[in-house]
Amino acid sequence: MSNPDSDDMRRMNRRQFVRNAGLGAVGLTAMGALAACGGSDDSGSGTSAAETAAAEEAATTAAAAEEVAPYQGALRVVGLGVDLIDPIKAAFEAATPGVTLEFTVKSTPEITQLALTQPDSFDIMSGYYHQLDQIWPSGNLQAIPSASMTRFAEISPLIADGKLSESNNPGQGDAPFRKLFATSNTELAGEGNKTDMITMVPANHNSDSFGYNEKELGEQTSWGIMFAPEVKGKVALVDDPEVGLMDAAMAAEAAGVMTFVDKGNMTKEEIDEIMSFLISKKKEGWFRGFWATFDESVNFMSSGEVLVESMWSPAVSLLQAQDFPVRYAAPDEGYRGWGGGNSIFSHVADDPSKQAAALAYLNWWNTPEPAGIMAAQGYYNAVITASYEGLGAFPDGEAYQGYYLDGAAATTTLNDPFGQPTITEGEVRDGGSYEERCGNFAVWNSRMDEADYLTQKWQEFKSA
Amino acid sequence: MSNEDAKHTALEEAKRAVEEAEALTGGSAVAVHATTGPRRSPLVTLAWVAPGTIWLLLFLIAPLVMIVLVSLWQKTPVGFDPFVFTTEGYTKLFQTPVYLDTLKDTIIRALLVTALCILIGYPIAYFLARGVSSIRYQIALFVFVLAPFWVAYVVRIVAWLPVLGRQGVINYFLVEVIGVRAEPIDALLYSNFAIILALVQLYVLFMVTPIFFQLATLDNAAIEAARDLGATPAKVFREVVLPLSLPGVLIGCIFVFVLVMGEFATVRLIGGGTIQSVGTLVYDYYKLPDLPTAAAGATILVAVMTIGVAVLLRFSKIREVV
Repeated sequence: MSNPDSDDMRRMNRRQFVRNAGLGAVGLTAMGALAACGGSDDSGSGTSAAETAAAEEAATTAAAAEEVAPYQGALRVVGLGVDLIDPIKAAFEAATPGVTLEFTVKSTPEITQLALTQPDSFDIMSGYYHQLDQIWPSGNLQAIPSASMTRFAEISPLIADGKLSESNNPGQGDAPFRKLFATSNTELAGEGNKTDMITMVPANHNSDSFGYNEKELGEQTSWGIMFAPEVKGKVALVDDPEVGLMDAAMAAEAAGVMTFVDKGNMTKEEIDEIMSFLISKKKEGWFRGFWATFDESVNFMSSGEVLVESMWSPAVSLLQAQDFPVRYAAPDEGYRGWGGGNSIFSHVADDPSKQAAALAYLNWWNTPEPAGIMAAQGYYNAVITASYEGLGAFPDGEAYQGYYLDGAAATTTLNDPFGQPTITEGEVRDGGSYEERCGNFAVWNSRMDEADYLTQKWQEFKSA
Repeated sequence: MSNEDAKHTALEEAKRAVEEAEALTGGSAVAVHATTGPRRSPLVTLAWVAPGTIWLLLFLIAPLVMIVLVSLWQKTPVGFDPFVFTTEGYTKLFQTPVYLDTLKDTIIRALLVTALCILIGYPIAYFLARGVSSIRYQIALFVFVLAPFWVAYVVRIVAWLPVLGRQGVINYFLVEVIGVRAEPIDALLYSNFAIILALVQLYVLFMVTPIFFQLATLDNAAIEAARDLGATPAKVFREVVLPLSLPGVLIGCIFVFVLVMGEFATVRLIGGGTIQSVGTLVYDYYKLPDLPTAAAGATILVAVMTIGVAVLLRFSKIREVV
């Protein structure tokens, strides 16, 4: 006895299977192999006709790709201030004659907004994996065959699979490995589904925690310090409902106030609970401020207005270079991670030579020079060997490699990519080596399902 | 009614003046002729008003209409759908008390700042216009009043930190020097107090300028007449100078009120992010991006500002004074 429903379902599955097999075959033809998949049921002949057509098309495209004239002109990149810096622009332009970069620096929500509303104004988006849930369905960005990422095989297992080693904690939320793969220009593959298309060629990632005044507070290793009595009125959060709340949530969890099922994707009830706690704290005068810019976070700390706050690691380095007693915590509960990369806007595909140049830019990010420039600010490249190679090319390269990647004490003064000394001799990086700092994630920056609700509550919090 | 009468009298006076002038100069009062001379062709008039009108239509009216339209469109993840009309943007604003509370705070703040600007700005303007006799010094001092505007906006705002901060000059003085406080006062910075202080400093100029010009062009004959009639200096000020300077005060009030209502950068930076204005709220929605709700918030703000200005104009009857 078979009921019609399950029969239908089976047929559907079979058809889907056939279609997938066909797609696989197309992929193979494109790689130069022969299509060996024969049709076994009545839809088979249709499939092989489509295959042939697709194969021919692929062949034409491949031929065209070989003949593409090198692109001459500008690539328009929209991205974050931390990535789109002058040394990066100079290095790429020197390495790629004829191609210039036009950088437009925006905040994360602005980048999302521009990617959604003005996709034709830019060729490349430089951003974060957690923006993709919002942007990807628009189809404004292209899925790129992983085969066209030059160093795809060398991506850090953290980015590809979520862990550097088996015992590591991958953390909750929008970790890169959950958003790296796509099934189409409008659909993400989702966790555990490694397709042969990627959303962004991964570039930088890092582990964030909080900055604190060591002179006033002593060494701190728990997010819970944010709600300890001695810091009342001297706490700041980043004014970003997603990141700021994540920091507060980790602090609340560590302080034993409440727990979450998934901090990367909180429920309405969890948001209500943490927000009413935060609002009551704000009314007590717990928070000194909510910062919106990097400089503001530096000012909060250096002026003594706050003792502990959300902070980016270069802000901490900046103050440390001025001998201010600030430390970047290595929290027991784990870091808040973030990962980013570059993606090509869909319209670029209409211009094969520009497409090739854009792809070259994406791949260039995993070469030693840019990886070294970013590593000297504390960021890790998705191809971590590129970071090693890049730092190694500096004068006193071993000192840079030791400090930034191996957790060793700096054997000399280290400069940032702008030539300013940031690390003094003898300093050890907070949290230690790459393996230590990227082995324990509590959560990753995320776009939550309840993001709109969260924003509404965040506004209530700010105006409370 | 009284308005019409006033215009009438003025016209008649002007006509009489023209006649007198013509009698005196043998009918060649050039200046007078210029205003009553042959009518210009309507085309010339059109040419004169066209640039301003086009400018205002393109860059003021069109964006305002656009904001109202966007506020009524349906939000989509990509922006908005101009084919679906909805009041969702407005209902979203009033779902929680945040918007109304913030609007109330913003209005109170704007009124307070305007009042403080009058209190501080009027004496400055009075001194500049009436207390300094040399026009050269007048201009020099006026340029000096402008000085804060030579400094970049952000610098002006950041400069408050070493003054008002926990380790700033004032707290240092209170705690370390005279020792009246054991702990520094937190409320000096990142508070409503700090925001109002900074806004007054920023916008007092917009009060000083119109009052200064009004007082500087005040007819000295009126003051002399009052003095001749035995009025005390206080009475001269109350009965002659103050009423004649009110249009300047009013224009100043409109400037300051409107500017403070729309403020978001000062509120954001001096408030340390802990205090909201309608402007910062709208900006938050814009960043989301939830453009229809941001536009709804802006539309209500514009409406409230328009009502505020209308009330100011109504109660002060500016046209009669001028």
